[in-house]
Formats: sequence, C-alpha cells, structure tokens
Amino acid sequence: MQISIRSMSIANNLKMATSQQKMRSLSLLGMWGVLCLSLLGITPRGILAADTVITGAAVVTADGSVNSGWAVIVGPTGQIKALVPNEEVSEAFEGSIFNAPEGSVLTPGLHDLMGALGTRGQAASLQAGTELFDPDLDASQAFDPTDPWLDVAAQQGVLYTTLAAMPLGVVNGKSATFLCQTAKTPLRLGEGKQTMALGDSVLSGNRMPTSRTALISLWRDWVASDPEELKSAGLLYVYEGIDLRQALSLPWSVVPVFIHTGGDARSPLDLVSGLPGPVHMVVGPLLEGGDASHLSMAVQAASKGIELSFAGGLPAGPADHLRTSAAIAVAAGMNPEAARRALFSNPATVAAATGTGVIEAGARADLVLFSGDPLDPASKVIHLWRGGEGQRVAGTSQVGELDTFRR
Amino acid sequence: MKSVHIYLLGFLLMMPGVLQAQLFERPIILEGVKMISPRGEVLEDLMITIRRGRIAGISQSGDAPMMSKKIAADGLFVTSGLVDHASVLTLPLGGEGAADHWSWDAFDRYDKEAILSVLATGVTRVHLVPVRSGGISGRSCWVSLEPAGENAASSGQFGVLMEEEAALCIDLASGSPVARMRSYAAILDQFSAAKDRRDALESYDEDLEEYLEELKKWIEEKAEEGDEESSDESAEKDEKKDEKKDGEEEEENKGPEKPVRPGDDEPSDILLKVVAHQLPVLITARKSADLINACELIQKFELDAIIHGADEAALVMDHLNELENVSFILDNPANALSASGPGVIDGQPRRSADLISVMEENDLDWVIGSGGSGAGLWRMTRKMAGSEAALSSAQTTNLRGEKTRRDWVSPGMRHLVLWSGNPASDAAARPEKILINGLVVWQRPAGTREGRF
Repeated sequence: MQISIRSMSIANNLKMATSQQKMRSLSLLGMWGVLCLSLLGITPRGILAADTVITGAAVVTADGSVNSGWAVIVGPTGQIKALVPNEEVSEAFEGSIFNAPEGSVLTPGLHDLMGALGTRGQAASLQAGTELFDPDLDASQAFDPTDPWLDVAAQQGVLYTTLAAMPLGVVNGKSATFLCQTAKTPLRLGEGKQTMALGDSVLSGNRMPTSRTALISLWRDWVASDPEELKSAGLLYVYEGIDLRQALSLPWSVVPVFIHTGGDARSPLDLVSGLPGPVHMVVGPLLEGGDASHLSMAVQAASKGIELSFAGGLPAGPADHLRTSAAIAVAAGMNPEAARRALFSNPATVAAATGTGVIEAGARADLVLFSGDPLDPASKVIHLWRGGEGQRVAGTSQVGELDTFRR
Repeated sequence: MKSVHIYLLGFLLMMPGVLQAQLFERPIILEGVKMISPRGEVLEDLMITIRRGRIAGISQSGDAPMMSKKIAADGLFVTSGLVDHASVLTLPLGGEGAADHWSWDAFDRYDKEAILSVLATGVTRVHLVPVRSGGISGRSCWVSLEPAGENAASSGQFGVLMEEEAALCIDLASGSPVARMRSYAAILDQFSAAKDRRDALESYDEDLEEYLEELKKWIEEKAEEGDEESSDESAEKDEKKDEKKDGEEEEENKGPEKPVRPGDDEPSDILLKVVAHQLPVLITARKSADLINACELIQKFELDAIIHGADEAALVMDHLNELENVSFILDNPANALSASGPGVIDGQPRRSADLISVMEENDLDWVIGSGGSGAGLWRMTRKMAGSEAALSSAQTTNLRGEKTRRDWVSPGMRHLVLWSGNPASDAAARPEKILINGLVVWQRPAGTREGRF
C-alpha cells in the first residue's frame, strides 16, 4: 500500500514536472503569440488597435436585463464586434478605451415609433391621399434629413425614428426608419413594413367606406382575396378596443403588429395573447396624468406575454417621453425587463430595422450611455455613439470621470 | 385593594375620553421596517409605535405593547408622506381669477379615483394652487389627502384643510407677451388701489373731524349771510344774483364735501393682508421678462414671496439675488421637444438643465412641486433633483421663504409611506401602503402587480 502510494506520488511528481514544463512552454508560446499579434495590431479576443472598447458600464441586452461586467468592442466599420468580459480588456491594448463612469448603463438607441421626427415638425406631410389601398406609398418621402430636431432628439438618446403614413386608408404603404442624425443624406435602416388600418380613421364622407360595417365588410373581402400585403407581418392600426377585437376576428395568415396607441383594449387582450408566436403591440405614449385605462391595458398586456413597444410622438412630445412612458409603466406594475424591451429591442423588430435595438455582435454601434438605469428618471444621457462615432452629451461638470477617455 | 379598583373603575367611567383612549384606541405597530436617516444610512428592523394617529416611538428593539394592532410592514422602507408644493388636483383650470377666490372651494373631495391615484404615488399633502388665465388667480391652501367627513373610513370624502390661506397666487406666465404685460399692469393697479383704499380708511376719522369743523364754519357763514340779506341792500344783491348762472349759484350754496368711508371690498382686503405681510404671494413666472416683473412687484410692495416656475432664473440671477427672503417652487413642465431649440424664436422658456445647481450656487431656497395632479411628483423629483437628493427634497415642507425644514420620520408625525424598496437608491421602489392618522388610506391591491402609481 505504501509502495503504491509512493509510486503514485513519484508518478504525480513526474506528471507535475511535465505539466509545469508544458505550461512554461505554452506561456512562452502565448507571450510570443501576443507579441506577434500586437505587432500586427491584434490583441486577444480579436480586438484590433482600430477598435473602440467601452468598459465599466452595465449593458442592456436584448432580453431587457441589465448586465454588468461586460465590455463592448466597436469596430472601425461602426458595428459591434463583440461583448467580452471586462477583465479580458488588457491595459496593454493601445486602441481607444472608453471607461464609463461607475453605475452607468449602456443601451441601444431609443426609438421614436410612429411620430413625426424627421419631418421638420410637419406631421401633416405624413397625410396620404384618399386612396383606400395604397401599398406603393413610402413614408420615407416625408423624411427630411436636414431636420434639426434629429440631432436634438439624439441628445436625449433617441437614435431612430420610424415614420408611417397617417392611417387614413386600409393600406397606407411602407413605414420608414432612419438614423436620427441631422445630415445632408438620410440613413435608412431596413425596408419598413406595410401599414394598414382598421378603425374610424379610415371612414370618410367622401369615399367608401362611410361606416364601420362597410369597413369590416371591405376588410373581410380583402383578406379573403389573399393579398400580397398580408403575407408578411405588417403594422395594423387598431386605435380602439373594438378595432382590435374586430381585427382579431379576421383570419390572419401572419399576425401583424398591433398599433394601439391610446384606447382601452383590455377586454380582447386574452384573444391577442392566444395568438401564435410572439405578438407585438405598440402602445402609448404614456403621459403623466394620462389615460389610466390605457396604462392599465399596457401593464396587463405585458403580463400576458405580449411584447410591447412604446409609441413616440416627437417632436411634438417632450424630449424624454419614451423613458417617461417606461417609468410610468414600471411604476404601475410592468416588469422592468419588459419595459426595457419596449424601449429598445422591440421597436427595432416592429419597424424591421435590421441590426438595431440590440447590443450584440454584428449590430450597428448606435449606443447611448446613461448615468444609470434608463428607467430611472434621474438618469441622464452622458455619451452617445452613432455608427460607432462617439459624442459627449453631458456637460463637463457631470462627466468628470469621463476624462479617463483616451485615444 | 378592592376599594382602590372600584375607585379606579369609577374614575375611568367618569372620564370616558381616557377610558376610550386606554381601552379602545389600540396602539398601531409597524414591525421590521427600514428607515433612511437624514445622513442616508439605512436603519433596519425598526418598530414604529403609533398612538392616536401619531408616531409615539421608534425603536430598534422592544416588545409590542399589549393589545396593539400590527400592520404588516416587514422589510418595507418607511418615509414621511411626500409633499406636493404646487398641485392642481381636481381643480378646474383657466377662466377669470380674483383675490377672493379660494382653491379649497374648487377642490372636489369626492373625486376618489383622482385622489387615490395621487395617494398611491406616496403624496399625502398637497398645496392646492388655483390656476387661471393670468393675473391674480386666488388663494391657495394646504390639504391633507386623508379620508374626511364624520365617518372618515367610509364617507367617500377625502381632504382635510391643514392651512386655510397659504398664499395669494399670481400668474405672470400665462398668455401672449402682450397679455402678460397687461396682466402685470393690472396687478400693479390692483395693489396700488388697495393701498389707496387702506390710506383712505386710515384717514377717514381725521377727514370726518375736519369735515365737521368745516361744516360748522360754513353754517355760521351762511347764518351771517342770512342776517345781511335781511337788510335793505338785499334787493340789489338779489338782482345781481339773478344775473349769475345757476351753476355758480349752486357752488356758492354747496357746503364742504363729506368724506366717504370706503365700502367693503374683500379682494382689496386680501391684497392688504399681503401688503401687511400676513399672507405671502406665490408668483408664477417662467420667462426672464416675467421674472423681472415678479422681482419689481415684490420689491415695490415689499411682499413675502414664493416664485413658482422660474425656468429662466439663471438668466436673471442678479435680479433674483436682490430679493430678500424669497423661495422657489420648481417644476418640470412637459414641453414639446420642438417648442424650443434650433429655429424657434419665441417658444417655451429657455430652461437651464442644471437649474437646481444654479439655485444652490446662489443660496436660493427651492422645493419641487408637480404643477399637475401630483401623480408624477416622485418621478419629477428624481429627474430634477437626482437620485441622491430626491428624497430630502420631496420631504421638504416649509415654503415661507425661510430655510427649508426636512421632514424625516420622527415622533409626532402622522403621514407615512411604506415603500417596497429603498426610495433613495432604488428607482423601481413603489409605495405599498399609505398611513395617515394611523389609518391605512391606500395599499397596493393584493394578488396583482398592477397599481395606480
């Protein structure tokens, strides 16, 4: 027994000596590797010298949670390359490191859905003609990239605007999403979605339908004809609860995003949550002293698993109305993760703005650094990036710690 | 010993109030609560004893008194009830105002839904400020949002007056620039007229004495004239008099004018109370020009003043610094993004982002008021004051131009909020229960996450 133990220990010693030798040789190899990569401008985890690394901030991920301990690597092409643990960002890295202040939170850009941001405040430019079915309409025609409010909104963390024609017909053409940046040329993100409407806004004294009954009949006939517009998920305006209920009575092959921005659709919520797949709904904006029933509806919808997005209203609304909507909803009982998804990732899905709304590899580096949780009204925007291009927002007195930023 | 008990029983029966207090008013106990000290420390596992609606004791250990009634509060954070320094809860807005209008008259104490929605946010006391279309709006009052009426728990009424006359409210911020100028001129006239009236009242007795003397002289003169008329020359004089015009004749016969005592004028009396420092003024002014007008008004009539709004205070700080003993109620109106900024010539006030810092640098006293119903007060406070100062500024109660008093949980307090988390550090912390006078006036509905907040 003793012999065997001794032999095992000798054997173990031999193994250890061998592994130590291996370790030494491996570490030597590693050091040489790092040196060679450094000479080539490449650091571990594929961080290039031309990259920007944002460290120190907690990160809002696609599920709406806030995760600390991650660094975001932004490539020179304006895309997010990767998220790596903070400790993997070496001090030896010679590229740009942005050390975010303690307690700060990095998020994707906020998204002003269905507002008039980018029309120089001329919401009437989104008014379509009298055509009842106008699938060729494109809301991008109303977008003016030189609108100064685009940059003003960006300072508040709103980095995307989605325009859609007013819901005056059954089919109102495609929505259009743009980066909020006052410039000579617009940067459109994604192709947009077909917008439709079922509600009183479609009724007109000048053309059919003039009554709700006629409208429903018209909708039924149109759906039965299996139109091209209904083969992909569009955006359906259903302002009132009755509109949503009647929309749900139609045989949808692909469930649209329901745009329910003001009414009380509490009663048909069970029907919505019973639909296949994740159902998206745009609600709000929720205002201080606003409609309590709409707020209650939004909270109930989220609790039933419906994915929400908060509608925008810029430039007519207050600059921080999206975050206010979220804060009001959370105070009324909405899950904070659901509220963050409603601010960031869900609007990107609703607007089909590819590569936006999430912080993950391959997405656009449109990022906002808040001093705290974006759901907290006390949090301020302190820095933003559009396509990887950084811009300080908060005054120097507020961001003394950001002086650690180095290039 | 038996006789002692009989005497004691007899004494208690003769003093029903004492008997009721001892036997029926059971102390209320909040056990296991947490509290934030003024230094920001979290004190845990506290027991708060409430007797007759007020905090009677706060201790970290100890047994609950006999027959006490426990309210489930384990792990909840306790703060005093939040105070909204400028609320329009249930008040009608717009229309003509006057000094004798009173916000309490317009308060709808039966609007249960609106009042509960405010209580659910932790606000238990409101300064009801009448809002009209410019000029003098009326008098404000302080209201505790507790159930009211004879049977408070089931009456359906809310609101008990805490301070009948808090301030005379003046709006210099409403309307177009021309309308605001006219409002200001009218206010100056009203104050001047009130002062003239006061002077007339003060000098009335003196004037009356003078009048009586003059009247006496006049009668004597007339009597002498009467004697002369009876002489032979009177006929000639009569001829000359006939030639005179009727008006001149009347003037000669007219005696001294009797002074008129100023009649009752309640609005004017209220303005005089303001001038006499018995009532402060609350002036709503947002733009620089209106703030300068407010300063002039305060200085001209030496008013005790509170300025509400003060969005552009940073631009006219030299004027504001000249005022003595003035405090500010700040708010954060939900202005449109497009109402100010590039290309806007005359839009919303140019509000400085660090208004509170500017106030602090100039040693100006400030508090936060919602300017609305009060339901968004806590969010507004966090937004404006920041997470660290939010709690202390939300609990400030004094407005009268003196240094603010911090209203931390302490014995004698009647208004309490029990929060789900630490409101000082946790943005998602929400009120779970509201206690006023030892009564749970609101609690988050059980079995659901949806509240009124």
